[in-house]
Amino acid sequence: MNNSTVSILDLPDEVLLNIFKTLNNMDLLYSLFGINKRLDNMVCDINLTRSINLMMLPSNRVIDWRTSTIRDRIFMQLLPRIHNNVECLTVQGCFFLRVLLAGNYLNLRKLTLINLEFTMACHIFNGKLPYGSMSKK
Amino acid sequence: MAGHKIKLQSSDGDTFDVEVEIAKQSATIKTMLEDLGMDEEEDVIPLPNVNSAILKKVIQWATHHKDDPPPPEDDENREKNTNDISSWDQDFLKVDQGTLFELILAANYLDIKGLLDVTCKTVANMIKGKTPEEIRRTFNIKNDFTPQEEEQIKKENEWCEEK
Repeated sequence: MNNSTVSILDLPDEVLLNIFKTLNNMDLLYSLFGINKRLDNMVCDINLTRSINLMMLPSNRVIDWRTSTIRDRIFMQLLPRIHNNVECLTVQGCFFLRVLLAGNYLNLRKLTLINLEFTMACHIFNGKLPYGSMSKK
Repeated sequence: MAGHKIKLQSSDGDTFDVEVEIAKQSATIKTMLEDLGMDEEEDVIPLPNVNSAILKKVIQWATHHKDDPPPPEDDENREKNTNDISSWDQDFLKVDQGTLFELILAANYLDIKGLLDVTCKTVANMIKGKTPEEIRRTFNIKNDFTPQEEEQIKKENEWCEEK
């Protein structure tokens, strides 16, 4: 076989989107965000970021360096960039505060919190979040 | 019609005799034959975007998959499963990266959904679980953000760290 020099960036956007659609949110956002301008714009495209499922994100009880880096990238770099695209968000309850801190989510219609702890649920539904500075809905 | 053949010509001038039913897995070729009224017996179908090495691989794939059921049209809601690549396809796609991407370009140009699907899944599997730095190394992608742009992104995101 010929040793071709064609690279992934030679693929047209429609084909890259085809590839990206086969990846789950975590793989897509974590692995491909912040690599290159063109990939960044595609990964953050509204068609790929309307529905975000972060269930695969290891809970905050996992504290190894790699996992912490993944969480920080998601909550401190990615969500602040795409928050206004997000219409549906699924995340573990333990990340609720970090989700709130990451953006305003003007278009959010559905939020699914998995394994939400009772005390946190009480805070949320009583409108009293643990941190005084937090005033978001 | 089984056994009926057409000629496909690659960008570098090589001609391949291929059974019509195998060639018709390409929607592009199917359209040429059916809508444009090309004569199967005499005309040579030029494929200026596919070189002979890749065309040979495409024909090999299409020949192996000639009896497959047609792929489903609506793939918007399909399950994101990249682990369903057959062992034959996995072996077939053990090629260098450039060849894999050329196969993707050819599948896209020739509109062969099954081949495009399996090659895209193969690339997706190469992406899964890698850090951005590993992705850069794997695919030889240069970071084209200027230091100023990286600084700007950091500044834009500072507000959420400070809240």
